[in-house]
Amino acid sequence: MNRIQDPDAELVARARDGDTAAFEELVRRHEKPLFGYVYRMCGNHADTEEIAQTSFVRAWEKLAGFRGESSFKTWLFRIATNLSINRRTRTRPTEELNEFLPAPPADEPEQTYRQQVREELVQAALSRLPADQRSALVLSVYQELSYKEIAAAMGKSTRAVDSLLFRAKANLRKALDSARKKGIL
Amino acid sequence: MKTMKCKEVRRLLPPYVDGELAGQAQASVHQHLASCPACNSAFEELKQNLALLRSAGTAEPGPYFAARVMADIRQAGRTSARTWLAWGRALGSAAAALLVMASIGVGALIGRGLAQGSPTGSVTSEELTVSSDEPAFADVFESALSGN
Repeated sequence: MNRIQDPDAELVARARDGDTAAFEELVRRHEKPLFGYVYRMCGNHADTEEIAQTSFVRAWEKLAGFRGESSFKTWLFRIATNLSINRRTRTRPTEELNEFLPAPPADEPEQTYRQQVREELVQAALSRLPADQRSALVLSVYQELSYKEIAAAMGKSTRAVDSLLFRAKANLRKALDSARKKGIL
Repeated sequence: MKTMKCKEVRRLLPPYVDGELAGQAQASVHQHLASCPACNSAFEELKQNLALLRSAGTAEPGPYFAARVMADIRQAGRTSARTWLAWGRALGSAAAALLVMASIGVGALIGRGLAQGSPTGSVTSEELTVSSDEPAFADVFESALSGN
């Protein structure tokens, strides 16, 4: 198996020898992207906090088994992906997109309100996707991973990722089309 | 260059917009989009939807997130170390007890065997009891070494 050039390799090696300071540096490097990814996967702060934290703890516990066949980041995201997909989604799949929208606030500027609507709408559209399509789409759009990296993070082939992303974007289009027709967007 | 049909182009739009196409496939999609308003419109809509996703931003961890992770890890480490320590102590005590019992047993057997000059077989609890008229183990040991 080919080894890849990993910018985290040195910290990983030190952490594997039990250096908690090195692992803390890894946590600080990856906490933001991982947190953002998990949030887009599960859609609420409480689950995000728990899953993100558990992902890092699991990474620490399993570090001895990390063989460097993917980057540390990809490996970490794979742990988070498994934890996120295994978590039961709290969103009912039959909900209409406009059920998620907040009531218009009386005293907030319209721009803030429109941004809030966008946030809710995007999260609602993502929540309606099957978990593996959502995972592939979020890794592509927010983490800007290549199909190969997404495949490594999800434990799938590149071809499977291509197919997941095709279906995810088609489903996203349907959901957003519906919102546009209702004048929400 | 082979001309692509709309259906093929639509299938390739997601990898095209993600920059995953290369070579002839990329060039063919590019050429098709320049001459097909319907496919070009689908391409623009796809870009718009992805831009909408990106514009929504994302959540960030609180300032103490990393500290909480590390506290969890250290706590788990301590628990694990304590567990190993407890196991180690238990094993140590068990080993020490076995050693003491074995020493007593072997000592008594040697003592009795030397004193009676007979081979030892199974040993009863009475045989392990040291009686006052039997020679002390040290004396027998001394005698065995001196050959008397």
